[in-house]
Amino acid sequence: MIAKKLSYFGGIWIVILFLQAMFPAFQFNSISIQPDLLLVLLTYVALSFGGTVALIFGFVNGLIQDLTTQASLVGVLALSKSVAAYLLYFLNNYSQVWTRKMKFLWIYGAYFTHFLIYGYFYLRGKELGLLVGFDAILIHSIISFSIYLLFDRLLGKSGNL
Amino acid sequence: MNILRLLYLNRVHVLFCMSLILSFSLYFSNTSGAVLAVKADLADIMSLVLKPQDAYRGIMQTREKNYVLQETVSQLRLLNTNLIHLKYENEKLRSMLNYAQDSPLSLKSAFVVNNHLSDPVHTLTINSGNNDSLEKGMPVIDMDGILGKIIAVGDKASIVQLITDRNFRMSVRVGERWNLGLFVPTHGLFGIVEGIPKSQKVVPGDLIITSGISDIYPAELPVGEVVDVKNDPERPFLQVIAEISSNPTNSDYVFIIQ
Repeated sequence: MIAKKLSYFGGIWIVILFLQAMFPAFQFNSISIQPDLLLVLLTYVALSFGGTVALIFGFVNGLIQDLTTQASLVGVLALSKSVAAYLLYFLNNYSQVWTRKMKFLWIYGAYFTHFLIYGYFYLRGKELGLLVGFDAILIHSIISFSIYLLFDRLLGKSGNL
Repeated sequence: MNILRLLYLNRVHVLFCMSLILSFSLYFSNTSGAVLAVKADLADIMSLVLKPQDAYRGIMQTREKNYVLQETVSQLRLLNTNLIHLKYENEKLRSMLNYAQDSPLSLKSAFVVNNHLSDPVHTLTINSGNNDSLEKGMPVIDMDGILGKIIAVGDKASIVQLITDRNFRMSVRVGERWNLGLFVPTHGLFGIVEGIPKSQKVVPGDLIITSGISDIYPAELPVGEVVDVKNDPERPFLQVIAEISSNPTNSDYVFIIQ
């Protein structure tokens, strides 16, 4: 059962990795914005396999993204994905306590934190205004959360949340 | 509880901490502008957090420095006092040297090692004696006038009877016609000149000098100055009160006339 689940997620992971590499990015005030599909997948991993797997998965995927996107700032996405995985791990702990809305809010909060960390550590050296940076973080998190909601609507009947 | 079991139970938190450490290590191993900017931010935060500690350390350091400075000030003050004394001594020695060179007398300088001004016999001890060819009876002066005479001579030191000693007597001249008189010390730096006839004119401010008829003292050395003259009808002579010009109480160096 677990092996089946793992192979299922493994297949999805490879597809998402490929999609993440291929997905078009757009520029917002000289900041490249691309939906983070791996973050969406990380949410499902956290909900399905718990905190330990989610943390390892988040760290490894963050590191892969770091090495493939920006070699000069290795560790930024590993850090932000680890924090996001840690925050998403709490969803399992409070699955019987929180309402669905509260869980969505928490997921959005995790996404926002992820992009906030990424934004701070990645954009800190660039001469950008605080508002521009904040807008980019908001856009990033909203797009990723929208994709999560889309997937949730398509797969949500599986009973993750 | 076993520590491994504790770690296992908190594996998520442990893993999270490890991933944070790893991520930060990787991030801060870079040298890009963003990393440097973040490092600068962290330095700012650290300086803000450590501000009370710095302030406390600053206070402690200031206190320590204050102690050191106080000690230094004390030492410098002491040194300054020594230097002032040395300057005074230097000036005095220079003036004494000039005095010795300008004087027609053959002078031998000596250092006062002790004085006995409270004893019944007022004396000074000087650091010259037989080895420096000093003899009993030699007159001793300072730059202002007669100070006394040598009454005892050792090999390396001598004792000088001071002009303020009650048993001291000296033939002097005073007045308009430089009349002969006998100087007798009375109290402190004062004395009287006996034997001046009432017919002679002596006024306060007149100089008193050695007469030169003595075997001990050469003529015309300053002894003192007249401060008051009393004409008592019941006495046969004028009562001339004199102030000694030398300074027996505060002499460091003296000259012996050879």
